[in-house]
Amino acid sequence: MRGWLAPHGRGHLWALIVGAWVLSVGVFFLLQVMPPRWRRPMIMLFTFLGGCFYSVEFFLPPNNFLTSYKEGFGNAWVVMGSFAMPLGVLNLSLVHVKKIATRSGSWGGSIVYFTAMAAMVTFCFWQQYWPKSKAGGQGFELLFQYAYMPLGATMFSILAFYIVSAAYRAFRISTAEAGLMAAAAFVVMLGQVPLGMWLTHGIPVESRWAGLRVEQIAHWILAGINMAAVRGVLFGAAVGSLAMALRIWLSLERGAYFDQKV
Amino acid sequence: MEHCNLQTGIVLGLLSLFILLNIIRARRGVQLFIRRLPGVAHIEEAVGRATEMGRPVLFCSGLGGVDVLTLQALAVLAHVVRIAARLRNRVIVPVFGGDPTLFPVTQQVVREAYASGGRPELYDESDIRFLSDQQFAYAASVVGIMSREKVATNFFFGDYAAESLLLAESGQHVGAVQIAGTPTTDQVPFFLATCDYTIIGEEYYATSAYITREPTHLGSLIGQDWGKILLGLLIVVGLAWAVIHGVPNWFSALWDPYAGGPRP
Repeated sequence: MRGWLAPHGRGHLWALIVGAWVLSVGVFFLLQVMPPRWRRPMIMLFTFLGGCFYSVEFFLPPNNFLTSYKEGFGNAWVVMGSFAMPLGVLNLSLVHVKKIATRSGSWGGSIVYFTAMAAMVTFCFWQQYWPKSKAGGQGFELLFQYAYMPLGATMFSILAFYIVSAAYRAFRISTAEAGLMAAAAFVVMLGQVPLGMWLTHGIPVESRWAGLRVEQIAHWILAGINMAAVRGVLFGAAVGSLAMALRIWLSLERGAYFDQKV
Repeated sequence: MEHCNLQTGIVLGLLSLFILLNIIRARRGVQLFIRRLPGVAHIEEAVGRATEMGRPVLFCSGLGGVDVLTLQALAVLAHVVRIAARLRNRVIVPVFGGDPTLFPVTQQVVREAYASGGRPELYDESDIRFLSDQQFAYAASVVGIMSREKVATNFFFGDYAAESLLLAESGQHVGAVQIAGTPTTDQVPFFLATCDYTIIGEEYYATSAYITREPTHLGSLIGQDWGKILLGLLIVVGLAWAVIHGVPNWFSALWDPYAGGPRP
């Protein structure tokens, strides 16, 4: 950040924080009271200007006069996100309060939610503001390192079993395409394991027939046929994303997300 | 790529020109044909099945924030909610907490879609659920919602990573009809193996054109096709030239971002 936006000392920093807060609340209030016929052109204008900033910065040579403001613009997005965060927490809490109040479904889980949230928030602040206190650090470690992390790892490990059941379903040879896919997958898998490589180890690596070694065929399938298809898909997706970005930037979207015209 | 060079600028300029030109053509009333996409065509049927079974629909918009990918997912969400509103069914939308701004945007999209579907009273704030910003915690929550609510139809649109298989396979276990759409090539095989219909790559960005039939979207889709033809021609001509004449040094230098300077 450059110029007057760069904080010079504690007082200036606080002035910037308060100023940014007042400005944000002011803009938020203004958007709420503004009639819709003015709100839409304003949103369109800001979308266009935001898009202009990033595209001009991209098309100009590196380290141009806009580059140093990129970080600041990125931070503005984070600030907007922080406004939305309490909305999310409130929504989640309301869902669980409703469940507990009506004793519906798995309302016991809702109690666990509130207990876990309260414990995590308490120990996080405890550890942050009283770093010398052992209990705060231990409590945080217990919750994060010994509860949350193993739970995440457990979810991840379930993938191993799900891959097997998904693969079984995918490789049931019901059509010619499925048969072709199963055959290709079989060769690729053989090419990755020592047993598969052993099957064709008799073909010398330097000979003209080396391309018939299982690992070579597997590599050809992956780096040739598969890569060509993946790149084709990526080309299409990239052009599609450009088209969508253009429509959003120029506010050409009609009725896709919001039913009122933007 | 941090910054544009001359070649990227030319290609981007041409692609943008094609897209904008076709949008103008479509808006002037030129009839444009687009082929049928099975995944999109079966959205209504999938929501209808859930309604017949008296169970809700679940729509996941992936791990993305408010970006191009997720906005496309929200376009499909709006369509799904409009159908659900017409059939008087519920749509549960778990929102990934990585970008909290997505949450109010999703709420607004669902609220307006219920209203335009003629059933604003069906909108229930607690059906749009703000979940964790951690990938597997989010996946665990969604899997929990699937089994507790006994959803009959799952939609997975947006940006996905390793949790794609956890979600889609759990959906299989609860017996849900599943339609997925993602341009993330790494996750496409998992969705293909576990979902009834999968929309991949460029089809993902074409869904809004099929859903809305808006001239802007149709024109943009045809513009994309022109762009892909251009890219295909560039590849074929470049390949033929390289095979016949070899790659000239000046051409290699054009595409080398470090030409004339030290490599990092």
